[in-house]
Amino acid sequence: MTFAISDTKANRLFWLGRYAERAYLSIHFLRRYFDMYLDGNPVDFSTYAKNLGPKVDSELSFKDFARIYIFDKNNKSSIASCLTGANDNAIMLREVITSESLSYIQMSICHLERELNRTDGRLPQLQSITDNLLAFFGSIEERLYNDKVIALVRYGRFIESLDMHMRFEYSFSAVREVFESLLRWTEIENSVIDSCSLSKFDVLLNEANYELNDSTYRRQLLSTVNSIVVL
Amino acid sequence: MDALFNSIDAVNSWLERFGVKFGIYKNGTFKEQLFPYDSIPRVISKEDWDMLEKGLSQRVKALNMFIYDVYHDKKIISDGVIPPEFVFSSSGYMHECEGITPSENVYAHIAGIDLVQSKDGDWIILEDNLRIPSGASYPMIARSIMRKVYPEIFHDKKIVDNRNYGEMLGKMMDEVNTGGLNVIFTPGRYNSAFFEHSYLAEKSGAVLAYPGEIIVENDTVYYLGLHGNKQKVGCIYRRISDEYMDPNSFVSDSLIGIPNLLQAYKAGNVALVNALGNGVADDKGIYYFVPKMIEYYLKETPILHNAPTYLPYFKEDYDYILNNISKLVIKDVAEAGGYGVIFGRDLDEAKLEELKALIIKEPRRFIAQEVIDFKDLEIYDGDEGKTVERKADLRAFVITGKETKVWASGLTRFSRNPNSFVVNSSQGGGFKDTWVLGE
Repeated sequence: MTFAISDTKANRLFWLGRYAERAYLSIHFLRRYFDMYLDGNPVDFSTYAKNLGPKVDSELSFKDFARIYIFDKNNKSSIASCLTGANDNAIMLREVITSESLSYIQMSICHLERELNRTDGRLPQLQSITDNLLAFFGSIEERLYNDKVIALVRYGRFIESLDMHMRFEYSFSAVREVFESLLRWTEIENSVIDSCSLSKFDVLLNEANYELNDSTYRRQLLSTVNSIVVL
Repeated sequence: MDALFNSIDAVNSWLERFGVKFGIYKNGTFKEQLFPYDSIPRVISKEDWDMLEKGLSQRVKALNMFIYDVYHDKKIISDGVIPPEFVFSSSGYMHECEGITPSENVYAHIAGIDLVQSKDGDWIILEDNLRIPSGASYPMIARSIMRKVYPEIFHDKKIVDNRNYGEMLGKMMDEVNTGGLNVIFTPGRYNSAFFEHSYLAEKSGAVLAYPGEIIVENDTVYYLGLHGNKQKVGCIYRRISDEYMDPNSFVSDSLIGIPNLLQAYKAGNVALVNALGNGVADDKGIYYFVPKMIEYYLKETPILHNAPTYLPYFKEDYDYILNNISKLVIKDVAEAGGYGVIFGRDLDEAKLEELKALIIKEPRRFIAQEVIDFKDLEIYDGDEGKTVERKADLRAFVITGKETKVWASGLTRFSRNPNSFVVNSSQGGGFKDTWVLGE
């Protein structure tokens, strides 16, 4: 099989990675908030909303908050929107990523739709979506043999992961660890990497400045990370 | 049979998982839905298949020779076998294709031949589809799913494996390729058969290309790769109608075509699957003459027969049609997808007179056929919890590269409406797996 990929497909692979990673991490963060809620901690919904948008009323019940951030397709930050974004890209890439990989995104959407239609009043169960997304990531890594394709999805995942971790003010070491993984991949495939932005981010991301938590610095980090991949 | 009903949910779950969908436009809105599938397969005996294989192969060879003849010496016309009006007034005839000889002299690389089985077991050809016949992907994926859900059936019975369609397609594209990539060219996500375009690309190893990703420079076709890197294209399996393929040669406001493609094709620098101009041979009016083509080009007796067909163009047929219109099915030669098919028995007197007037005014536009009481197949009605009978046809796929081969399967389509003979997916039909027995 001869391989060829257009700029548009490369862009789609990148955004497939971003949307899938965002869905995965959004569920992860929601679980952290839910965990705090279970123990009676005051859960700061407005912080979650501020990080992802849109703004919500902090008096909202957890159930309603979860509904907006899980099912609401009008909310670009909801899990439903992320999965739709992933699927919209994935179905245009079937012959590149294979039906098998695509099926994990599709199954995640089917599961979410079933959870939406539940009538037993219980909170949505999202573990199957996490499992399917992990299977999707595994399928890309293990079942495809073209480094360029794997790298493009990977870059999408790295950029989204860096973006999300920084928005949710994860520790410097966690963010740095993701960045180091991205750097290793640039040795395999760097045709879509803007080396200036990459170097700039590398320099910007130092522990002393990161711990200061200055808002201008944070914005600069976010802006730079989103210009590392050029497609 | 019960084993097939017990796991219907599992089959549907797999179909959903792989997104086996078909898109339709309703009131201007695009809607995708799962292609309705019935677990009860059509089963074709080895004896029947051996005959079908020979007959289909014969028919497609003759059709390919006809198309070559039309765009070259036109001997079948000058020898009085087919009236010239039928060829040159066909909406599928393209004068731009005169003199073009494609790679390996193949025009209909993928022929979708629609058949029905009459109640007495005879197989009858209903229609030839030589432009963009659709549907092979659905039985391909259905078989993969059936083997996962019902492995014991496949262990116990000798059913010819049909999962090789992708390989057959890829091999054919390699054989006609003029040098370069194999590409499947799709109009995009909102085409009703997009699932098929992408699935066939995956299974054949071809690149799936969208409008804007293929260009022609100096009569050579290129795929625009990453960062503008151009890769030569040697074969395009196009899923776009002829008239939209090249805005510089055909419909000028086509946004989904490849400018100057016809020049590259004429220069022999790219193979087009199927060739441009094939519509001249899958016109319903030309269908009448296919048995004569077999006799003329191959000097053989046709193995497979047409449905009894009448052409208003011929006086004897014209009189017969007008005198028997209420028991015939009238087809508009320009329509496809089950549209333009009128059963005389469904019309009142006023409508019958209107139809007669149309035929009198435009005899070339219509054909008439006897209504064949084709064999019903069982389908499982989940609402009723039992099997019911519905009309079904079979679309067989014949692939021609260096040789002509018939895919040992096909798309069996059924009507979900108990009163309808129209099985097309665009009009609500469903599909089944098609099993060819190996012994």
